Amino acid sequence: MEEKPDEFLHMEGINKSFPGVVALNDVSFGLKRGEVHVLIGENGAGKSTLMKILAGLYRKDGGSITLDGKTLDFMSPREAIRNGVAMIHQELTPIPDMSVAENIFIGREPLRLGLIHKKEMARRTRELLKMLDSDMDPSTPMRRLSVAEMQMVEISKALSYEPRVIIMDEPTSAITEEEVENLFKVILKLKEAGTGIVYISHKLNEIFRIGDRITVLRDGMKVATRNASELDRNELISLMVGREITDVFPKRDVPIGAEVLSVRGLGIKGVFADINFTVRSGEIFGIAGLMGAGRTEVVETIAGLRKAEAGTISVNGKQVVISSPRDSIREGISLVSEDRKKIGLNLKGSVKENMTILQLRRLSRFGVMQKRRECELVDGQIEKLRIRTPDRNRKTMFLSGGNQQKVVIAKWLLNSPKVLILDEPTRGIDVGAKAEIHKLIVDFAEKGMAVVMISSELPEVMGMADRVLVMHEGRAFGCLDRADLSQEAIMRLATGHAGGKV
Amino acid sequence: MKGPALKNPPRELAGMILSKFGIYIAFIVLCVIMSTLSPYFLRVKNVLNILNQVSIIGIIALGSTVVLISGGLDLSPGAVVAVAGVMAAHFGHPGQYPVFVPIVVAIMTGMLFGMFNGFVTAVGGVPPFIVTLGTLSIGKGLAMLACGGMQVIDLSPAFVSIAGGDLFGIPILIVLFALCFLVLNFVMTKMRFGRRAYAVGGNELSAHASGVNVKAVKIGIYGLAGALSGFGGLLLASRTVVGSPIAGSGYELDAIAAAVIGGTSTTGGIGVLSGTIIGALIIQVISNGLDMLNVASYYQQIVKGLIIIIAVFIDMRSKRGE
Amino acid sequence: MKKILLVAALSAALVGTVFAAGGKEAAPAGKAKVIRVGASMQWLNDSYIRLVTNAMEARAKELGIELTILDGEGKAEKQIAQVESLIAQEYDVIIINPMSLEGCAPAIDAAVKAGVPIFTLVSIVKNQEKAVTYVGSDAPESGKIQGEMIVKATGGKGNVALMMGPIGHDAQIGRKKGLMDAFAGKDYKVVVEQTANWQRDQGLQLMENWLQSGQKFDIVAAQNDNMAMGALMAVEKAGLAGKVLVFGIDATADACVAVQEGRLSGTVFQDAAGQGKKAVEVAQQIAMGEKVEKIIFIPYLPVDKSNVANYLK
Repeated sequence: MEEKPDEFLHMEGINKSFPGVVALNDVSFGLKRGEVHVLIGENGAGKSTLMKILAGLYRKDGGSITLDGKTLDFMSPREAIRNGVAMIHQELTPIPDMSVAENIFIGREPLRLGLIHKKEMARRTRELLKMLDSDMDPSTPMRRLSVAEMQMVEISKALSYEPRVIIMDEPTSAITEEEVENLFKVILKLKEAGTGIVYISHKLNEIFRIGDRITVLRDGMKVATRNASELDRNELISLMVGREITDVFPKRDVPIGAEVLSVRGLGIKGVFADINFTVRSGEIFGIAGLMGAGRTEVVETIAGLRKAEAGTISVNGKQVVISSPRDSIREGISLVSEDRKKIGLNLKGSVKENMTILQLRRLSRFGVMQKRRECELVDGQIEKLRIRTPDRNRKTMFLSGGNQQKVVIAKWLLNSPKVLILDEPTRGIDVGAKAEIHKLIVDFAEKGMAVVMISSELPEVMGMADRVLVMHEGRAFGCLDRADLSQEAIMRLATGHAGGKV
Repeated sequence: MKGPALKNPPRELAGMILSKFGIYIAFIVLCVIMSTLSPYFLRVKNVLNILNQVSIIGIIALGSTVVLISGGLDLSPGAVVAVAGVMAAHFGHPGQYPVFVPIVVAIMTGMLFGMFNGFVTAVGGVPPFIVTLGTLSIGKGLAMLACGGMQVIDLSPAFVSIAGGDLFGIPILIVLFALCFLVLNFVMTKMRFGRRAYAVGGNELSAHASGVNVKAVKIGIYGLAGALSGFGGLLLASRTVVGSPIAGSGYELDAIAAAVIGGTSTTGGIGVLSGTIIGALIIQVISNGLDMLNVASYYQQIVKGLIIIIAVFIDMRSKRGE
Repeated sequence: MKKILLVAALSAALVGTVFAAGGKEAAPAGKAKVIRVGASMQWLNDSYIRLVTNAMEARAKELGIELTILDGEGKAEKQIAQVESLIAQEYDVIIINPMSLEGCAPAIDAAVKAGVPIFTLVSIVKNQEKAVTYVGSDAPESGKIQGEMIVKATGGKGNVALMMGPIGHDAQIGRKKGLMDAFAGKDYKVVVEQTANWQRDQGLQLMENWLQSGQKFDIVAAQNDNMAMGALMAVEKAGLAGKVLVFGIDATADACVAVQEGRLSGTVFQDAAGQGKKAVEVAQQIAMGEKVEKIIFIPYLPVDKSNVANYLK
């Protein structure tokens, strides 16, 4: 591959294998100063692996890396940071009991007379957060932050190293549109300062907005590097997938039936209040809003993970009392949670064990598991949902994000739910798997399920939902019919401007 | 999506073998070393001797293993062994009660202790480390109380034969240990109770969200472990022909060590009972071998500690490669 | 819910402590001054020590002395702390049954410094000369008597397996010394020696392992009856009863039965009750300002088949 003379970072012929799998096969990648170079590919294509090598988390098996003319081989992330390469990870791992400031400055706290200078640390933290237009309190413990806020902190931390190269791995997967705008402003500032930015993302509109060049990886190999201006969406997708993808949102018109789920006056003090909505059979009911609007909390209450303090829930016209997940499961309600690693899955367990956890009674006789019945059931689901796994006994921690999500969905489907609630079902999942999941959701609706879908991706909400409830700071600000859906309408309600019918 | 090409170079293969069988290899190496140091080590009589000696602590270790698998921790076995042994001995005097009475008493005592542990941690929310540390202390006191500080002696021959007899030439303790293992293994791998235990240990929140009755599982698991400790206490009283209030001291640490050496994770959700057997055997082989070589007991302590660290280190390294 | 449980537990513990402490605050004000004696015993779960303390309590009741008995739980540091606590609570006389020859020495120093009379019971400390006296038996004496019994039973030669108490314990050191003294000039060889920490199950397991090791011995000298009984069971199970002779020390109830049945070849009677009784009497003497001997030995007595009937309870 020809070396572009204005590239200051070169990765040449990188090879990397893990036991049984070749992750990267002779991949080359270059970065110019002040450039936003997008790295894209399906899950498992090797993007994260390539960047983790650059950031010092993995060691390459072969190939070379040069930065500003110097050949590098980082042995640790610390070395990478010292040499000006900072990475913002997709999986956030903050220290939950420490504050924002402590997390950002961990290991390099400003000292005064040998003791940590808290005031100085707080001041610097506030400065960093201001760059992202955030007025978060530096002393807030991390565990109190939402996923989006944690990501903000992570970005601030990387910026505090004043790096030459910043790698952003899915930086916008858990933040709202407003926050994305802030991030882009910061990126532009960094570009002007000459920082090279590697931007890994699945979100096509963002890529075309912010990216200068795009590199596509597929199955551990580099497929192409082009200028963003030379590519269009469909071309990009076919480069990624190697096949044509026509319909991203396969919405079909489905007959809408009787009322299945009805929520009246639902509330938990300090979290959300006075939530009313109904979902009918065959309907896809979207819930939109900014981070922290309380959407997840509402559906967690319906699913029994939280206890409602006010209001009622009715299924098929009958009022039900839901005080634990067992209650809601019994009523035929399934919730596919937002956080599949924390709530959705037992990562230490296998695909089979995770999938059948709701069906233990059905699959056993006198307490003993019936192996054949179980395997048939699991294999059936694997096929139906097209879950890619070497076998059903593979531990779920080794699956890609998209396949993990499918296992969770499969698990909850086996409950034969009347109401299927999905909280951010396609977050952090590549285009190919995303389309599959969307198709599945429409299939479910067609079968008569009442589907509730929380999503922060407006195109997804608009493409899939029949009606959308928009929440803002714990209250329902409006409910829009499909015909009235538009990005602006949703945004207005989500930012607290009343107007839509409730 | 087609996965990338799969490769299995020899280095990776070695890694996979080590991770699955690492602990067995370590055990074999240990036995080889011992047998070169003493020609008597591999004699049938000595092998039976070791198996016999490992049985009681092994049964207790099986209990500790299932607790660890469910994400918990049990520090109380040492005391439960003592209380159950004393209680059993009280009902084991000649001519008083049929021999099944002390057996039932011991197991029930252990189970009650265990269920108490489970209840306080599951419903009360107290961390298992604290609860079982508390019951360890309570149990030791109760054991002393139950016998006024004096060992309980004068036990019937039937009582003695519980742990002292033979079955077709195989010491009965070994048979009992094997039975406990088979039953427990079946429960954990083939029954839905075991499935739930692994789920709770692997991710308690996820299990709860998936409708598993986490509290019931915990109470059940701790009760099961308690019953096993109680059974172990009975066997120890029978083997030593005395109900001693200080029996079993320190057993909880050996039990946990055996489980951890055998590959059970201290964070829950991962562990196999067969590993615990090997772990217990490793500890017992060290004890037996060094006794035969007349090595002073403090060296034994040091060697035991080192082997535990090495075994777990090997296990962790091999798991990381996966 | 959690908070309520925690508060309840703490309250219960507090109430319990008050009751436990209240039980000891027996000294009625306004009567003639009662002599208060505090004793730190090495551990209260040893049946031998129990015999001693039972006798102490009985004698104290007879003499009208307020006696507090504390359990050192086998830890020297705990005993030191207990002695310091007894000093602070202004006890008249302190008795210590030390766990360790070296480790308990600071307790004696503390009492001497505070001017509170302290003496040792059943076992001694390194700085014994600072204590007022020692009431007990002479550990080497018991070992010597055991050795003499062995000599008498085996005619002056043999291979010996020596099973000992915790290493560093005064009795472990003393009894071994006594045994070796009895063997002086005779043809005895100690082929294996190891601790079984006074415990029966450890004695059992140790003997099982020894029997597999190929070491040849025909005599087992165990430093207490608990270990001896454990070793005896292993010997009998291996079919070596009569070929390997087992000797213990203490003359506990089941050991005496075993001697009468001809299973245990001999044990040594340590007059536990005598030691306890004498200890309280000596404490009273000290409290009333009388002078006492520097060493008060309660003699050991050999117990074998010929005289075991006297010792069966």
